[in-house]
Amino acid sequence: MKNRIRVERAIMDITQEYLAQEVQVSRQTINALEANKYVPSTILALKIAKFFAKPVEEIFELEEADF
Amino acid sequence: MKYFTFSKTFHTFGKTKHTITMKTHFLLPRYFMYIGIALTVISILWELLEDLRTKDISLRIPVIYEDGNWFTIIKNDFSDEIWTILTLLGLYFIAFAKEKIEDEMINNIRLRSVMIAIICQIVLQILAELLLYQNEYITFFTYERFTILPIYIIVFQAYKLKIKLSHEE
Repeated sequence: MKNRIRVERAIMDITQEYLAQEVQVSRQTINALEANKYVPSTILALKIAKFFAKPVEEIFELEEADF
Repeated sequence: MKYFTFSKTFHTFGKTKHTITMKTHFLLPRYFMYIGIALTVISILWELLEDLRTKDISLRIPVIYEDGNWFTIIKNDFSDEIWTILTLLGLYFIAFAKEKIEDEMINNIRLRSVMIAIICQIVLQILAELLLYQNEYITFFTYERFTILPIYIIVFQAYKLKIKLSHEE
């Protein structure tokens, strides 16, 4: 699964730490998400989408490898 | 804070910082980590200083089976039992105290570490079964009871370190 968290974060000009606090996870989790090393739960995905005020599909996207 | 109840508290993004919002089953409060370390150190010292202990802690205790008798009472030196219980509790407290930020990725790592620890335990037992006999076999299994928790703790801490070191912002 691909995600656009790093891009969205750059647009809003916020740090990993700030986003982590807003969605109540550790900074390491956001880091792992951006590095595509961790797939978030539905709850976390929805929380991140809600924070960026975008539909979840705009931030998270399925890849070839997921099928 | 109750986060997942979908009550009013759902709309508190940013107001509470790093509160533990995951439902954490079976985990102990964070200060148990320090109690656990203390208990483990005490238990190690207890075992190392075995020779210095002059007095037996003899107690009359009920046992389920002893020398052909069911549900009887025997006299036994209790220091071994104290050591075992201290070690088990100490390691359990260290292993299952909550992290500072207990989020879903930590939970994920926990699961992986538990699985690795169980696999290591099985490998150790199979190796011991094949390679150790008689007294050594019994000695090994006396201590092997405790290995699953240290393996879990080491693997879990190693995973955490790996995440911490990997690709900083």
